[in-house]
Amino acid sequence: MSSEGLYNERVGDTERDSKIAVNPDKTSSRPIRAIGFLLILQAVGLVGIATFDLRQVDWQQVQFEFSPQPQEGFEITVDWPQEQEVGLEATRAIEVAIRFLPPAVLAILGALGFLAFSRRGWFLAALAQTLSLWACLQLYYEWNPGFIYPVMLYCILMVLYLNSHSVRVVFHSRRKLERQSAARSGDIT
Amino acid sequence: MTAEHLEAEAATILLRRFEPIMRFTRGERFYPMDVEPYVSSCSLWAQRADEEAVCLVPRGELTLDGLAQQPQDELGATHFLRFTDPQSFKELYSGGLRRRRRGSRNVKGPQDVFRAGPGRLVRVGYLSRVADAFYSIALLARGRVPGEASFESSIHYQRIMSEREQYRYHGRALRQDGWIVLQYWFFYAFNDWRSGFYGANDHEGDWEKIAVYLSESETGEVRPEWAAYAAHNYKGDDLRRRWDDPELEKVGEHPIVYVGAGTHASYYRQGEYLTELELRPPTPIARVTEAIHSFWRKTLHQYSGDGARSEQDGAPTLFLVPFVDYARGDGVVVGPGQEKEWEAPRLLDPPSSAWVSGYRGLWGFYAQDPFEGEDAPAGPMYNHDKSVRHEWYDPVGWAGLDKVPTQNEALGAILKQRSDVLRRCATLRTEIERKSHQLKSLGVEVAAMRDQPHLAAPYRTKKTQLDELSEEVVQLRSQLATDSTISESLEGYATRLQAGEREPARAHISRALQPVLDNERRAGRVAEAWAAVSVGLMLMALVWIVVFERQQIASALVVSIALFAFLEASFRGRLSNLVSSVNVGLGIVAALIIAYEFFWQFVALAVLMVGLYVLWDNLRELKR
Repeated sequence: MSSEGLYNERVGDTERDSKIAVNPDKTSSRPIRAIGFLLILQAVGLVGIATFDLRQVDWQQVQFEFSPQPQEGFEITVDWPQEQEVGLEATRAIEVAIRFLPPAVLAILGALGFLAFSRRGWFLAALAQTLSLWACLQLYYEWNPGFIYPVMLYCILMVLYLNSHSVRVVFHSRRKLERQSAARSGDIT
Repeated sequence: MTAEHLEAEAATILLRRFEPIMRFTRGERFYPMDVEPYVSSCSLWAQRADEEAVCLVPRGELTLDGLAQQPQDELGATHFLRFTDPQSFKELYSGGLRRRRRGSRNVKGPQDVFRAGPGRLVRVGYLSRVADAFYSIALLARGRVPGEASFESSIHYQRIMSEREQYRYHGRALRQDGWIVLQYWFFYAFNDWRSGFYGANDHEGDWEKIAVYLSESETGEVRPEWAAYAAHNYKGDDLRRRWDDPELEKVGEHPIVYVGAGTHASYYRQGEYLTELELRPPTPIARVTEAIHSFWRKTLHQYSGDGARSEQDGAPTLFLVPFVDYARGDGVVVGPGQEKEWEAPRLLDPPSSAWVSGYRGLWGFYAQDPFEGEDAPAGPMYNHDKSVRHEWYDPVGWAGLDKVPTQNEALGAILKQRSDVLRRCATLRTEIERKSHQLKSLGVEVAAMRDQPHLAAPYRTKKTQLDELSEEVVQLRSQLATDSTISESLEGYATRLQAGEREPARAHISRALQPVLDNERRAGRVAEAWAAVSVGLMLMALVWIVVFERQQIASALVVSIALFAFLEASFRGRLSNLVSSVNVGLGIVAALIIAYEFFWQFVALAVLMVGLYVLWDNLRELKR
């Protein structure tokens, strides 16, 4: 059965083989479990920031006016100057939640993938870093909140860790390894 | 040791005994031929710098003996043969060649038709595809073999074959370093890789070779031990295969060669080989790239993937222009017991071959291509620059066999080496004993002189001598330990060899040429179509954005690049690499923002750290 490997190469292995990374030994499993833990920490942090922001808003003062067309979503209307600030805060809090929720979900899925040594865990974890960094850069460009800096720093370290040689080789394609060894051992296929 | 050639009769017998079986690809138009009818069909020309090429011997008057004399040989002149003639070609073309060519396509049976199959472009990325487009455009500007020369050559070749169909190789048999080397040189009238098989180049005349290495017992019996096939410009250990290596296919004592379509390169296994033409960056850029790569990989311990690096020396390359060498082995087969048999070989060694050493020019049209890919090659003895070929003067070293003894010699060589090492060990032991005695005497002397103020100066001198002698003895003991281990290893090696064990057949190979795997070739029709149209589409999108989307040029460029990158990565199964690269890019931007926003805090922190270190260091000193 042909299936997709970690690098999305078509590999002619069984269903189980395609999902399970090259069996890591005890030394190589340590960074994998560490990344699983760090990803959960990242998800908790992102959800925490979003929740904290949402809880800062006085929702009693915010009035929602739903558009009749569902695709236009919602808009927050305010009547008084002091309520304008509350409305802005509410909009920003919702924006932060919308931007941080997908990477948090991906981080959790990635963590589960890593803990189960699945080949797709690495891809999900890397995608979580892409979305987190992209969200932070957007927020920096729009209104530059202070919490983005620790998030950016954390993501940079995660990118370096995920791309480190010791982590990537564990998830190295089985086919590539087989080709390398075949060249030396003389396995003629 | 210099090579000495065998007598003609013995050479012919050995060459015929181990002559190869050549399996060609369907669609091949040129087969190994004798040089004589080719030379008779050629004219000889000389090209001097900044001058028009001059015809020295017209077509029909040239012979091999005449070629050996190489008239008007002078410094700066390049002699070359012309198998095709532009004038006659124009006449042929206007007089119905076009019709004949069209007709010849129709009469080709399915046996003769070449089908490329999955395209080469799907196997490489955007930059390489753009480089490929520029390479094709550059062909219009640089010197090249005329477009129809391939077809005209095939007509001339067919005429020669219709007069007398023959398949012949040129042979050499010589002794060097205990080996008997059989060199099989194959001459083809034309290399039509570009015009016939979507390859890199075309040129008139093509010399290719393989070699078989034999050992000889005391009774004069010969045994084949190695074979070496030449493919493009590879040389050294990776070229050769041991006779018992399963990759080296044989029928009896005849090795099988899979011949590249158009290139006529020789391969051990049938298949399609991705050959990459390397375009290297200028040296300063290469140095910067190498430094960044080294920092990324070694300092940060980051995964560097399989970026574009040279096949031969691992140096960074700017682009790899991909070409496929088709060695499918599904066409004509030439060899003993096959549908086409070899004629008796033409020997390249003296006295019958004055033309080999006498003619230093090119064996076909001199296109004056700066990259030399479209120029005809020089003969079997010479390089393009008229220097003597490595494989000619050192056929054993060419395949990396100069460091390998024959099977008959191996045991003797090991035992001799072991006895040399044991002798060295005995000398070392004597030396160590003598020096140890000296060391003890000196040690006693130095101990007696210690704390004697009136002997302070000689004490220092003696102490220095003592230290030096001590170091020398340590080094001698270390060398003895190493030599003893080597001696044990040699003994073990000899025992294994006596028991009939041999080294693994492929232990010497570091990088073997591998055909593209089946699952890599099956890229899918959509991916094929995407590879064919992507570069053109990208350029059109670029023009569209510049002309019509000037208002939002930045965002339009980002969106289009992201879209193309996503599609490309999806088709080539490299989404992970794409995500990784995007992450690194975003990470660099984020790091720059943090450095910009917290610059003074970083400076203050750095100063604080230095202050704390100085404080700690001074307090520690105070404590002492």
